[in-house]
Amino acid sequence: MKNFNKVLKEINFTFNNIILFNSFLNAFLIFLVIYISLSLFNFYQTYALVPAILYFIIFSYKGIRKKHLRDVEKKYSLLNERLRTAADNIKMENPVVDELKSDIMMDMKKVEVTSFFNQKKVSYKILLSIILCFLMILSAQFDLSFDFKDAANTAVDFIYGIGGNNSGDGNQGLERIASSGISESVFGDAQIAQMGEEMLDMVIKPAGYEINLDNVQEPERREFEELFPDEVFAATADVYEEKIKEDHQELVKAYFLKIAKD
Amino acid sequence: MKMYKETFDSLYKEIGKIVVGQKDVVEQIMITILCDANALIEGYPGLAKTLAIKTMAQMMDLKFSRIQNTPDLMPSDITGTYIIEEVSGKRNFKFQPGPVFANIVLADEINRATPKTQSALLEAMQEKQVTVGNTTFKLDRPFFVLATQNPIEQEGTYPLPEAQADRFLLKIKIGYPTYDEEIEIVNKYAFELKDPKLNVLLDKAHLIQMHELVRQIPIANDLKHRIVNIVTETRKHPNLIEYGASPRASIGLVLASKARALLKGRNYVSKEDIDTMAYPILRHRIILNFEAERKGMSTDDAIKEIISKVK
Repeated sequence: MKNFNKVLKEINFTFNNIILFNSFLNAFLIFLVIYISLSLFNFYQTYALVPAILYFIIFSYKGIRKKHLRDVEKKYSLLNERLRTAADNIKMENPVVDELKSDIMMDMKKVEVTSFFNQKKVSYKILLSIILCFLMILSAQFDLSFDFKDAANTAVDFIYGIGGNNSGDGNQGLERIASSGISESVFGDAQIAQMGEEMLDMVIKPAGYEINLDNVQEPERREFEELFPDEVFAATADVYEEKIKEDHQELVKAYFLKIAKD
Repeated sequence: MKMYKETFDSLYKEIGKIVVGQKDVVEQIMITILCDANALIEGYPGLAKTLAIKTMAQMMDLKFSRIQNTPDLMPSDITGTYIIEEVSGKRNFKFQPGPVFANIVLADEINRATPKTQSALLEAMQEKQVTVGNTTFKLDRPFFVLATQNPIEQEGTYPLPEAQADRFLLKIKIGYPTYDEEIEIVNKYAFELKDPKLNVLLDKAHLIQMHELVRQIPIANDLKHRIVNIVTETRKHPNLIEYGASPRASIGLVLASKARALLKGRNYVSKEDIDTMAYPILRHRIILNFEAERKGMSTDDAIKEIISKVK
């Protein structure tokens, strides 16, 4: 019954492929979630590979070692117990076993590979992985990250009221800290303060400022357009008019006309 | 397999002409016959124990004999004895075969016979041969002993020792018929005198062929483990069972499950076969302890509990 052997091998091969695919998809999702989390918190993102690979190895190994015939029997009740019996007695040859094997091979034609593949679940997983990929790209584009040090400082400031509630006297917070007797933590570690007295072994690298005279060129002429920002604009000024009475205006007018005639 | 199932279905139908109901009993007797083994049948008087066996023997074209066990029954009454025969003036010893020289032997009320007589019968069951004097006689094949026991009237009886009870593959319990079945029994036997004619459906050759076929039926490895787990579990409950079943019970359960599968027309053993056959296989092989008996538990209750525990 070589054909029955082939059937069993095909079942195992198909199930192993499905298990590997599912494990890979799950591992990829794990990688994406951990990668995004690590990048948001400014950790080393490559570490996301470790749990993903571990998951893939463990679950693939477990899945491949599992007996797949029971899964087929669960889906197809007409094969229940028969498939296992025939597989366990594969080396046995007698009319009853041969009949059982040929019956199973007939019934195996009704078995569809897609029935073991949860399309809905896989589709959701793929969709989720696409969304996570976009999130990853967006977080990289906008450099989204959460700095723990800043957050911790802000939190400390907020708790002790330095940066938070500044209403009233500006020195109120500092005074409160001074009076609370916790100046040690606010003004830093005493060890660090002593650093000032110690000689530092520092080298200040001089910046290059030499001018290469051989490389001096004529100054570049540039045409500048008169461009003004929108906020700058010209407007006609109002005409200056003195508030002179009309008869006085006539008198001044007549005077100037007389001068002109002379 | 379909052919066998059809044969067994017609067998049930034929038996149904004589025995009303008791389908499980008939099935279990058939399983015993298919396994080439012996069964102990327990039931109250008047429940068609003898009738069922006699009918089955008729339908299988087998030689049937009945031994009514009594305390004064001697082993030679079962096995046979040498008699003096006179032929043309000469006197010779001639072996006169006893009722055990048949294909189906019904040992009615086996617990009424003395242990000596019981063991003569049990030797025949086990060895399929009879030794009288210095001569051993092979029994005709197939050979089955179906012994009956009455659970009441225990006075003056010799209950079978556990070691001897273990030689019976199944202990079949016969219960009372249902109301409708009893009405049918009354209609059948209170108005007619003539017995219906039975058709012969199986012969010796067929039966011997079926014995081979039963052993060829495959069983899955996990089901084999289930059988051994059930049997070994009977030895792990000292709070319930004083003595558990022997490995002979494991062999018996595999065989009986295979025979049941054949009866059902299947070419594989199912979990259902094992769980069903565990009761008649184990009930005479386990001894409940005092505590379990005090609680009013029966052996079937204990078996049920064990089956539920085994995965």
